[in-house]
Amino acid sequence: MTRRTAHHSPPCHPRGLDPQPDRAALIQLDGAAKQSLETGRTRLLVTGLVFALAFFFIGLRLVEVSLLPGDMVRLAASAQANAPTHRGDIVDRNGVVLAKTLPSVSLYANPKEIRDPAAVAARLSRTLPDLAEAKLAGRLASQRSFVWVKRNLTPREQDAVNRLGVPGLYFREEPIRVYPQGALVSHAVGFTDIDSRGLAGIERAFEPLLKDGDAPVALSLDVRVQHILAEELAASMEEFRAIGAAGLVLDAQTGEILAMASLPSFDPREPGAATREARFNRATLGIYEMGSVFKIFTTAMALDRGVVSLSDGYDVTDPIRAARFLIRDYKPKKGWLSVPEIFMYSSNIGTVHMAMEAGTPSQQQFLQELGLIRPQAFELPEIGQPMVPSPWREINTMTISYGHGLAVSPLQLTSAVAAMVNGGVLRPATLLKRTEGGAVAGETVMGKRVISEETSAAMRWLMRLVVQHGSGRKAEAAGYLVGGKTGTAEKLNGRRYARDSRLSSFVAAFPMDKPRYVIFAMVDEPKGNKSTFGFATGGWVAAPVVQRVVQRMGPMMGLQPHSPEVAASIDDFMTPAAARGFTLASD
Amino acid sequence: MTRMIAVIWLGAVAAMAWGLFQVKNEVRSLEAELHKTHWATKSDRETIEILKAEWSYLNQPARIADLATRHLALAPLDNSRIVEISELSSRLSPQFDGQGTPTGPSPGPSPDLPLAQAATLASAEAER
Repeated sequence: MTRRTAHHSPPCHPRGLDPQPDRAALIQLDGAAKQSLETGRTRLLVTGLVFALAFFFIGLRLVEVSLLPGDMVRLAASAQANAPTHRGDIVDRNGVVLAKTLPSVSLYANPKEIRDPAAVAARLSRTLPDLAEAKLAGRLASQRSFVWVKRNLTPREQDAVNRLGVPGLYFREEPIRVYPQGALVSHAVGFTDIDSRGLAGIERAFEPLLKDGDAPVALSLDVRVQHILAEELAASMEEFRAIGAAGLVLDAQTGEILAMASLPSFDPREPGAATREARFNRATLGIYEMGSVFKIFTTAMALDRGVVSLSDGYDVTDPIRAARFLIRDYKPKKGWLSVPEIFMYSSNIGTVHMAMEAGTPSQQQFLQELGLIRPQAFELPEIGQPMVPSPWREINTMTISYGHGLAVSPLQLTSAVAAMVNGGVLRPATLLKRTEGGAVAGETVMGKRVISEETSAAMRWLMRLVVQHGSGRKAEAAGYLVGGKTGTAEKLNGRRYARDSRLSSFVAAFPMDKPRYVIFAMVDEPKGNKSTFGFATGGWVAAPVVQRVVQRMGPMMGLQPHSPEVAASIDDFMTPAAARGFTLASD
Repeated sequence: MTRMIAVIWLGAVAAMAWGLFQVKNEVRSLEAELHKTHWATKSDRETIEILKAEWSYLNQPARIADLATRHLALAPLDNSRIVEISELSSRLSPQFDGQGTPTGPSPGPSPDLPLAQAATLASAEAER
């Protein structure tokens, strides 16, 4: 039995094909386990790799941050500190601040958070007295979530509002534009609106440049000279009860404007409060018939074109009758006058003869070259369009020769006169600083020759004569060799000239042997008084202004006054050879 | 052996953690300081701007002129008081020569000489 038992085991297959446990089932089972194992391993590997990579990068970053110098951080920090945060400055030629943007705070309210608008308005208007209570209460009761209460508070006001402790009131940082020199330079500098956008003057002209901040815009103005000019013009305005005044001080060699005044002026902090009259820039935007100062151009043209010479002259006894006009002299003289005498005594008749001999085309071309026909190319947006006769008849040529019938801005006139005295080169007037330290660098500034050196020298002598012996004697500033020309124009009142509303002006240059500065002063509608024997002409009103300005600015600009003897010898030297030795008719 | 390594690792981890927190602390305080410095710089800059504007405001020529007339015994220089150096000796008393050394009772160099110099200077000036 045991044997059987022993043989009970499955029969041995001769070919080894023993029956085995179900083989297929075993393989299948084995395969599934293996698969899940494989999957597990793969996942582990991938995860491990991802983690290893992540840690690798973290390590890398750690090394970068801790061991290598952190440039990025520093760059970010400095960029934050240097970022231009506000509008650029405007400074004068010596760096005196004319306009600057300062940080300030504005107060606004969220009406939705204010429970009792009336009470809040009452408390606010007590703290900030310039607020209208009723209007404020209305705004605080509105349905909006943002209303301005007051822009640009002072630190004291901000503190007071903070102390009120009213919920619903907030501050917002907002820059404010300040003008430390106030009304002194307001026409040149201009002003901005409450959101710091330039509306007038340099503020408007250089809006893109100023908006970017960074470097300040340096003007050619000198506040000291500006102050002198404005003060003297204001004094003259008051003395002669005038309605306005304008003045310019120009560097004769470079065209830089050292001072530009237009009175009455306005406070640039509150341009809205000023009248239109005060905001009006008489020096650049205003156009005026300038009167006899135009004789400078007529005489220069006649001399330069060779129409007359200094020793020529005309008979000025008879008034000239043309069209409906009768051209007379203000102080009539009899007989023959030489060209210097015609200029000195400001004879209309003689000047008209000169212009007629030169002819209309010649005059037109000359005035065109001087830039008196077209609006001037200038930095300020406030530029006046000259009033030119059309058609330009013979009668216009006559009247323009002594400054009527062609209206130009004081700036145009002054730059043209600078060309007459500086050797004959017209350089564009500018409000931007061109030279360093007041040194004359005229040669470096491009210009256009309009008259010859000789004509310019003759004009300097003629203008000096006017101050020495002619109508501009009140402009003589001791030691400074002032030369100039008076002008008194009757203002157009509707269609006719009004005899009692005048424009008295004086244009001068000094020192006349080598002019550094050209000065223009104009007083609008002056009334004569006792001290001037009732006269309100350029020689009585505007010439003294120029005299005082020269007297005060000369030493300031480092110009040495000459002693009387030296001045006399220079005057002698300036006399052209053609005019030496002949005597001038006395006044 | 294994325990040894584990202890070392643990020690290293503890040291790293401590170090990390230390660095973090330091960074935080530095950042605070940086922020404070930035703020102070900004505030100083603003103050400088305000002071510049105020300086210009206080230097208004009209204001200076007013202050000068009220508080100073000074007046603008009269042009006649500005003279050339060569004219100076003729204006000095005869006891002094051009160099400013006293020459006693005897008169100094001829007073015509400086005047002649002045004339040459003047003509030189005129030719310029």
